[in-house]
Amino acid sequence: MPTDVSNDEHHGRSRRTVLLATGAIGTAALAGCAGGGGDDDERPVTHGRVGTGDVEFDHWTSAFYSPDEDESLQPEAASAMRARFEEWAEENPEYRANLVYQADLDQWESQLVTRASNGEAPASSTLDSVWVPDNREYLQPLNDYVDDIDDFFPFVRETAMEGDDLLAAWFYTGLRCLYYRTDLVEEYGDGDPPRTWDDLLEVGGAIADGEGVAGFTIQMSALDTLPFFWGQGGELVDDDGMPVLGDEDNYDALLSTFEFFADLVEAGVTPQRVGTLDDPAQVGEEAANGQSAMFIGSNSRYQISIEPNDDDPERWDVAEIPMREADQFATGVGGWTEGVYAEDGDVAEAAKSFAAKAVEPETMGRYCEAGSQLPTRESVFDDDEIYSSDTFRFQDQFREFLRNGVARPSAPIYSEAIAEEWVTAKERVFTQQSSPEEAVGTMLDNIADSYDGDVEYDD
Amino acid sequence: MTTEPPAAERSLWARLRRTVGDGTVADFVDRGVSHPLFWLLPALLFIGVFQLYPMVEVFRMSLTDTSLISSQESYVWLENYRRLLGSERFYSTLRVTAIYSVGSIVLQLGLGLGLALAIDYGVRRGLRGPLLTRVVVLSAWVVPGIIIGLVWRIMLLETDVGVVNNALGRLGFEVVPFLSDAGMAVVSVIAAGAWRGTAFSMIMFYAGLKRVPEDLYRAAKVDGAGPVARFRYVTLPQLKPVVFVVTILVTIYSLNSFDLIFALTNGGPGRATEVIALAMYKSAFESYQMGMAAATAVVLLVVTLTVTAVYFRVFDISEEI
Repeated sequence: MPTDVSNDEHHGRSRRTVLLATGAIGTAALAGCAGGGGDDDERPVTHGRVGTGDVEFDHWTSAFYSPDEDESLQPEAASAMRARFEEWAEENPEYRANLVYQADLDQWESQLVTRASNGEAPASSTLDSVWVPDNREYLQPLNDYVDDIDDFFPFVRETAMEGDDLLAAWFYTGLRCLYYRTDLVEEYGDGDPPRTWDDLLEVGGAIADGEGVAGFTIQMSALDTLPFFWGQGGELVDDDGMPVLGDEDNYDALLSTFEFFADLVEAGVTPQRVGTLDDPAQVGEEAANGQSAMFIGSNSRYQISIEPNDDDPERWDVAEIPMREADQFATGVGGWTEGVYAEDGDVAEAAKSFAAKAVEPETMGRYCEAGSQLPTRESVFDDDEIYSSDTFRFQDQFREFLRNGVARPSAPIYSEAIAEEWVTAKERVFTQQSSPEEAVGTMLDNIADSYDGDVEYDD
Repeated sequence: MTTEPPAAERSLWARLRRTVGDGTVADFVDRGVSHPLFWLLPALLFIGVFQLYPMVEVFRMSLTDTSLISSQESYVWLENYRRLLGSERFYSTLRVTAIYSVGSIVLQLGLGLGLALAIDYGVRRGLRGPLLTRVVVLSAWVVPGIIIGLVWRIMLLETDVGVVNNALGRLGFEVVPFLSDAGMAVVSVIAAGAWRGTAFSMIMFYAGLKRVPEDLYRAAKVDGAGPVARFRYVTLPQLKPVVFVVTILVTIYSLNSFDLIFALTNGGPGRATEVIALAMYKSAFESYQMGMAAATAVVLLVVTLTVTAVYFRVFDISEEI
């Protein structure tokens, strides 16, 4: 079963739900498997260990990435993880990675940052791509271990690199796109998916009036709506990590985005209640149950929500997220990475080779196919042998969309303030508590207050 | 066979034996045990380690720029307080907290007292059902706030799937924006909180009612007092200390509310239902600004102490307690 974990703004809500639901199991796994202590199994790969060498290091990860089908929270991908680990163990007989499973995402994230700042981080860890900015001060370059960095989609190079240093091995990704009902768009429009905001308002309004359903819905996360801003060329922070979204050009893109939100509600295309919709599954299932005609969803939303719940899933198709102008394109991307904290010595070499293994084309293709995820290397899409062209119904479109992928910025102020303020402002506009100007103004002020330094928006 | 201790030890042994013989050790133990400090020590240690030290540490942290994502920490003294008190968000959360607290106090005291009177009435007249009623109401109290928040969230969904809106739809009403309208969201949060907290008030009031001597009611009846007069001049004065305690506890609980609101609205839409405790959580664990979160905690403590002091003055129950 595909998961919607790769790019969720709230650090993988689906994944969190599963993790919470299996908290007791996770705790038991921690107790039993952390560090692999006392593991006298001769096999090269077990649930708690990879390799049998003398150079030993701890690798924090999730039970989603366990090589053991019985223990994995993603059993369908366990064989791919096992193959990756077995190959690495065979290539590096002197190394041994102890897999330390983390059961709670929030604690995992804060523990990594806290420990890293005290010099007590594990040698390596799996990281949500959105954690990379907060950890970039401590992550070690992987360039000597990762081949052909130019093969990665542009968003990887823009987000996971510091100068020429690749700081995280981004081994799969996900994206956001427009899902739409072809039958309704055909009946109330010209059959083509809306490319611009005006198109969306027009066809969405006609559908809402004619069918009595929501024309368009959207989840209250930043990643689902930031593409509207990014597509206009808007930038959240500058190269130094200072917020610049209030600068002249960015402000225009920002305000127009929030005016579009207000238009959606005022035109009756989007119901006010989306201002409280923070569950991507709910958005997808409402659409599958005929309560909405179009929505922004992740690449796996079709398999998770539409296909199992809609009597006629074939009537759904995907398109690029509508933009202010027809020649603008952007999608939000996420995914998970492997990062290394060990700075030098045998342990650092071992951990770096372990992380790099995850982004070898064969390894990446195998995992993405098994786990229904999207590769971060473009070449992986070319080889049907390592990544089946049938992994996603809309695979060719997704590959195109990824070329316009934009990841959340590599600056602490994004996670400290921008994401939360963006969502709050959006909620205020969708629920008509504030005008777009007021919401944007308050957002900019709050972000400036939170930034550790003086922010003067250039207007 | 015993061996003789060396001279130094022999001397010490002799002194100890003399001391015991004289009863000095026993006296010392007696004096120690009879001193109040001996018995207070475990509690003082517990309070010191688990309450005073964290409180002092929070205050210290509020004077720093401690962050979860930085190893650096420096003293910024009152900067966090200046930023907090100068931000519009703080006053918004303060206003929401005040509305939530007042609403919760009124509803929980009113409903709790009403339920307690009804149960007491039933018990005094030997009616069936008071025990079952108490168990049912108390069940809300034992369920964690997070679960209650999720349950209410499902009940208040703004589609036909929502339990309440589905029922209203069957009666011909439009869908009510319980959570997406700022004002309705505040009402929803207060209602959910009152639903949970009423059980506590009810139990406290019921216990207080059981302590009211039956003679007072009989005497009042003889004097010609009706039910309202008996409630006004017998029940309420007798319940005054309980009302005081319940008011203080419900106030403190309301001011510190977090879990239920976190699950029900997470402070939204916008920040329409964001109370101080939730803002503090978000500062600490979403924005990683521990210094700012600590400053918020200190302000919340000051607010709570101030309100409690006002209660002490208003209720004037020094004779009762």
